[in-house]
Amino acid sequence: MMLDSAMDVGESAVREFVARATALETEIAKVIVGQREVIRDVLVALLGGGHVLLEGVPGLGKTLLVRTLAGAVNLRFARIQFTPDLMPADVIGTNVVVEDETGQRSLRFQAGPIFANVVLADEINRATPKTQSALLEAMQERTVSVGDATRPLPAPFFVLATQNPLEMEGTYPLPEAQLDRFFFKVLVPFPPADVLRRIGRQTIRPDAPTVNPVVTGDELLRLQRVARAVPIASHLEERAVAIVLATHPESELATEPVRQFVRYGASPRGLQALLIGSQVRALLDGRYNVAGEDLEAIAASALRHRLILNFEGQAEGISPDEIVGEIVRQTAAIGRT
Amino acid sequence: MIATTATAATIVHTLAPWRRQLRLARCLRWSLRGVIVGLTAAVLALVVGRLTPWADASAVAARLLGVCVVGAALIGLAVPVSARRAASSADRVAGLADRVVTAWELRDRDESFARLQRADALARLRLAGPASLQPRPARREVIALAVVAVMCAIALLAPNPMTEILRQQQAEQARIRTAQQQVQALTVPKPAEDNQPALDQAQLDQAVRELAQQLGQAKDAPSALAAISKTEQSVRAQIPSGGDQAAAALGAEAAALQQNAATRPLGNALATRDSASLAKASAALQAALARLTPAERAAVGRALQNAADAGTSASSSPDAAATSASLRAAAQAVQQGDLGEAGAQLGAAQSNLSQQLAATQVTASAQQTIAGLEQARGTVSGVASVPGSQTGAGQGSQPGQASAGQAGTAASQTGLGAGPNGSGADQTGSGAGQSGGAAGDTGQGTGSGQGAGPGQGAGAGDGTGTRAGGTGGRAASGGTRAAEPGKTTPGDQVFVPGQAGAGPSLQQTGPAGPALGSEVPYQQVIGQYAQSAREHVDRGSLPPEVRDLVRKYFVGLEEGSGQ
Repeated sequence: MMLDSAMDVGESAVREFVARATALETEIAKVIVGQREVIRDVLVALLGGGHVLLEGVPGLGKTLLVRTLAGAVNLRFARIQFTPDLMPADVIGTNVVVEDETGQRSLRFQAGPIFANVVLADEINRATPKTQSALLEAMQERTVSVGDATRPLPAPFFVLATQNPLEMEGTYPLPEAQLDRFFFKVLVPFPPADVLRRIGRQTIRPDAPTVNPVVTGDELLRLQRVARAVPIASHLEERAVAIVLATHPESELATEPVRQFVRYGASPRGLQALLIGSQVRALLDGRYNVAGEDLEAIAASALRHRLILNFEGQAEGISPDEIVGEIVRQTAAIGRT
Repeated sequence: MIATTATAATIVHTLAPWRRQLRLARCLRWSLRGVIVGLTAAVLALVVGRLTPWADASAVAARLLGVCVVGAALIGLAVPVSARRAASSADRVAGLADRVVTAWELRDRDESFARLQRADALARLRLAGPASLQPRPARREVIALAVVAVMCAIALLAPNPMTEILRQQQAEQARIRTAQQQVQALTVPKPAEDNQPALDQAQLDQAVRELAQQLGQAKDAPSALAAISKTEQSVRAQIPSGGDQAAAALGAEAAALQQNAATRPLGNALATRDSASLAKASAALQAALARLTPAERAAVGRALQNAADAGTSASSSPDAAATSASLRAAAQAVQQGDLGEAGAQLGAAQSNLSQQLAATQVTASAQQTIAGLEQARGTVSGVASVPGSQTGAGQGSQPGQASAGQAGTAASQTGLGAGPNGSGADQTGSGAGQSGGAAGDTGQGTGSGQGAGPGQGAGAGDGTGTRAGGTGGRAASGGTRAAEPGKTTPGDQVFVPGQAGAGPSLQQTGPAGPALGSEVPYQQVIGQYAQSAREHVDRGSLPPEVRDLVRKYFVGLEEGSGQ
């Protein structure tokens, strides 16, 4: 993946990328206290053109993060609160009968909330699989098919879903196909004491910080194209492929934990997420090339939701992050000689 | 604004110091590996040197170490460092986050991003510099080096059980070389004896040269001793039968002829073993007969008759008998005044004497060679001691009881005695000695008799004792015919089977040993000495054949004492 797009990106474009990304990050950080890694991951996914599944206990600011991001990019934002009785039509829209001035009746498509640039799918695992599946086409194809018509979603299109890992009663875990559509799965950790103190101090003030839009939709699309032009050395491509292959228990590269606890490994979308995410992260770090540390930094976010643990792995409470970490360490020597 | 004009050549140029540094680091790393491998090989060589006698183990170990280190260093230097590898190393060492290796891969791309990337990578690469690339040995290599170094030190410093064996082997080889030189000295061209058949001398020299060759190739004492024994047998086979008696008859005849003025030249020629002089003297005597008065002829006839009688009494060999018959016939013809018959008989006598001279010379040469071989055998056996340090005659008889053997007939041939290999036990003397001849010539004699113990060695000659605890020179008692083991009687002269010396025997009773002047009955000491000899032989490091010889010798003595 060496500049295959033949895209000629100038220094100004790169500088613009860094400036916009930094501004975006700064703007979000005005509202979101701490959680730098979470913000960085969300930004990487946004600039990489992928969707994010945020997982964390309630109250950690997941929804606030998405709302802040939407405000910072000056894009149309929609929030869908997923509940068990939510229907697909509630998400993507439906045809309704309308009567014109002449009394003529006709069917007209009433677009759902999915027709926005930034969609917050809050507590996505509370909806039924049927409704969850309504997002499949939208997330991958960026189109919505209702009846005979297929309607494109606005660009850029960015889904941020949240789910609560604790309250599992009455929830419907996302199917593998649905999970695979997410570019990253970002874990939102509980903040440490100093961050908590800052959160408390900041949120009780009467003058809450406001977010200003710093990036437009067109600019975001351009930034995404710039990111795709970042070169990746051949040995890093080999390493990314090796990492993905190593998640499959039947692979020769599989580590012992993978063979023991994993039922199925990451898909090619995982490889795409690894490479694109690395490109974005390289630019965010002011580099013109992907480095091994980029792969290592985003491997967990890109792969953790793509590893399907077997029964033994689930029973043992194995964390996919541990497995990914082991794989990353094992592939560190690739391309060194 | 970043300069974006960096090209592939620029990258290569910027990477050059890194490549040199990497090559040096690789050389050092490979050298370390070479040290590890070399030390391992050296340890193996040293271990082998501890299990088997290997004199060159340390040298080979050192060479292995050197070869491995140098070879490894050369490999490290010879294998070039690729630019990509240098780029990868620079990224890793300088923390350049894969910038340089990516720039190397993008070196031919002309897109803006590629140019930006190259410029950024080179700028950071120049800032880093190759100094940060310090060769650090891997931990496992350090551990391996420490382990093999300790093993090598132990292998070098711990006592080697093979050292003593090696020392013995080296001493053995040195003795074999010395013996080889001694044997080679036997082949030094000697003035041809007119009356010695050239064929016999050539055969002797050929046998000695072959032996010298075999000794040069001998790897141990047994093989050297076997070669010497084989050659000795070959030389013995060349000794004509009755050679000793012929020498004795010649000596007696010479003495008789020297009594008369007319026949004295004839006697002198016989005494000096000179065939040409013998022929001349015979011709001169024939010519002079006509000029002699009857009284003088009668005296000549008596001298001839005496010579014939002496020859007959000294030897019973057919040659001696024929010679005596011719001399008698010549004496009779001279006394009867038949000068023609006298001349004819003198010619026949001269012819017979020449044949006897030849046989004597062959015997002497062979015995001299055998003596030299015995000396070489003693040297190889490792029982030789400092020359001349031995006392006591090889006969080992009781003081004052040594009896003379058959006398040699020529002064220059004294002390030619040869016997089988003697063994030098503490109390059992056996040795070889070079004795001085009675006429001042150095006769090479090998006294091989075993002394029967302290105080029983008799005679101290000019010879060189070459056997530990053995005998001295044979000058005083050389030429004594050896008594066969088992046939000795108390007080008799005791010899191992050997050959009588051909030289004249000057019987001298040398200074006695510790028991000088005291006589001890043979039967009282032989058992004790034999037992002591057996114990020492079993304890010592004598070659098996020498042990057997010593045992047989004492068995013979004990059997003799019982008779």
